[in-house]
This record gives sequence, structure tokens and C-alpha cells, in this order.
Amino acid sequence: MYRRCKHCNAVNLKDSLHCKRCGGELKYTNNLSLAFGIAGLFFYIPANIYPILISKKLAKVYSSTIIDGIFALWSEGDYPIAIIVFLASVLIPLIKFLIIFYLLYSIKFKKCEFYKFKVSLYSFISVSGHWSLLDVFVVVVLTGIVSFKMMSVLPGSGALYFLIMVILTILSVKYLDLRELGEKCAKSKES
Amino acid sequence: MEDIVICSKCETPQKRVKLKKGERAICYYCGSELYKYIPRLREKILVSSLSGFLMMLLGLIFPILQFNIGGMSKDFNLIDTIKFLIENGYLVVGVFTLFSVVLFPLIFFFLVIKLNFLADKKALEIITHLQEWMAFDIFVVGILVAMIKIFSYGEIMFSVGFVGFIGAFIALFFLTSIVKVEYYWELYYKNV
Repeated sequence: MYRRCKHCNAVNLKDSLHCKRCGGELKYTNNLSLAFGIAGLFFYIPANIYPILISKKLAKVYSSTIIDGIFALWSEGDYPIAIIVFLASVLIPLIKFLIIFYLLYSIKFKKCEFYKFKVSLYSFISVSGHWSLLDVFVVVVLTGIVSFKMMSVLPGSGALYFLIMVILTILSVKYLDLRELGEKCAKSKES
Repeated sequence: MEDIVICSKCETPQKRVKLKKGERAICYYCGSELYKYIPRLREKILVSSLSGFLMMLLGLIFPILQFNIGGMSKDFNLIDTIKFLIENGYLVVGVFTLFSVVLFPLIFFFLVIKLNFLADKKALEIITHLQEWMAFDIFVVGILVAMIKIFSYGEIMFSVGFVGFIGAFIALFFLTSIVKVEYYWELYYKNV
């Protein structure tokens, strides 16, 4: 009977195409979410293989991937920061892809079991999504701070792939519409 | 439909009830928060948006940090860094940082200030869609992580801009996490 606008939470009639309040689209966009999710997964590989950071010291050039950076932090004894960077840059993006595909599978095949757990998973990927940008911004800040004639830090190609991957996963989560599953499960609850 | 609210977690429609001070409405099905009563919300939004906007300008104009190493010194300024990235071929990273850390938060603060004096549906629409593309809070955490990474190599000193960034961070946290997007619509849409 009613459908919530996922942008402004206004209550609309189910047949409406656009939200009466903010004008946002009310139709489900899960196919788009799948497309962005798959594209993002492709960029996950080069983001972790190519160097995210290039440091120049006198005539020597050093490059390090995300994993190298985590090992460096760990070996210097910065365990909490190493764990944060590992979670934000390696583990969470991977878990996010798994959750996105699991939720899309559940929506497509109307899997209503563990619905509350699926809602929690959706909340997790919505909140944590932007935090994967942390590594890109650390590189940006280091580029700004360590910029001397004899020594400098620059973003590597991995930073670009990583940024594109994060943008694609943010888009995938944005278009992932759990309302479709919610409405299907509400129907099955009533019947 | 004005007296109906749909839970954003489980999509269960339920009747909206009027809240008193300190109360919050909970979904009867899944138990998640539907909405809450925030006293003097309009004043809090105005104060946070005004101070956030000014603090952010402070953070952009003045250097955030100063890094000293082996007799050399370098001021870290965000605008200069973005300019450097764009000029040196890191266009995507530079432009994304410019929009997500500088322009979108500034536009957000400006529009929230504007709503207090001139309610505008277009401004509400922009605020609604802008929130998901702001990454100012992550950038502030990024500064802290970068500081820890270079801590052992030289001396780091906080500058005026850092205070501005922290102030803007707190204001933005209140305006985006405590005040949910539907509160802006409920507060200002009737004035349009």
C-alpha cells in the first residue's frame, strides 16, 4: 500500500514513480547495483596489486602497496593503526562485495529467512562504505606534507584503482534496494 | 499519509505518535529507532551550520599542519595539495578530494544556513542527495593516520587550520548523523 522513499524517508503510495516530497525515484534499482558491484570487484584486484604510494628519497624511488604499508606499520609497532588500515582498506571492501552479492541474491530469489540479520548487514555496508576512502586520503595528506626537493611522496596507480573501486561500491550500495525484500517478506508475514 | 511512518530497517508501516522531551519512537516490529525529539532543533542546526561553515573556511585558508625534518619545513594546506595533485596528473584523486572534502561540505553548510532564513525545496533536495558524497570526516581521520605514519621521521606541529577542521568535523557530525535528513524536511518543508 505504501512505499518509503529511501532518500528522505517520506511515505508515498506504492504506485507512485517519484517521491512526493524530494522527487527521488521510488522504483527498485537492484540491477544497477549488481552492475556497479561487479565493476567494483574488477578494480579490487589492481587496487591491491599496484603501488598505492610512491616515495622518492634523493635518487631512490620506493613504491608500496596497501599490504606493504600495513606490514610497515605493524613492524614499527603501530598495531592499532595497522589493524584499522587493514580493516578499512583490505577486509571491509572484500566483505562488502560478499554482502552486496548475498543481499542481491536474497532479493532476487525472495529469501526471507534471517531478514533482520540482512537488514543489519545492509546497515553495515551503508555506514562502512565511505571508510574505505581512508587509505586514499592518507596518501593525499602524505603527498601534501612530505613534499620536499630531496624527499617526496606521490600517489601510485593503485590509489586511482582503489578510489574507483570505492566509488563503484558506494554506487552499488546506493542502488541496492532492500525495500524490495522488506515488502516481499512483509507480504509473506501477512499471509 | 502524514500520520504514518515506515521503519527504514524493516519497512513496516506504523502510526506516527507525538513525542515529548527526551522520548524516542521505536519500531514495534524490529525495535530500531524511528525518530526522536530533539529540543530546540532549529537553533542547534543554525548554530552548528554557521560555526561549521566558518571553521571550515579557517581550515581551508590556514595551514593544517607543519612538518619539520632535517632542517626543512613544510606547511600542509589542503587547497595547495589538491592544486598540486591536479597539476601533476593525479586528476581523478585531486578532483574527487576537491568535491568530497571541500566543495560538498561547504555547499551543505551554506544550504543549511540558507534554510534557516529562506526555506527552499531545491536546497532540501540538494541536502538530501549531497550527504552520501561527503567524506570530510574520513579525511580528518586520514590526517591523524598520516601523522602517525610520519611521526617518527620528524616533528609535527598543529596549525590554526587543524582547529578549524576539527570544529567543522564536529559540526558536520551533528548535522548529518544526529540530525537525520527527514528532520530537515519536517522542519523546513512546511515553510516552503
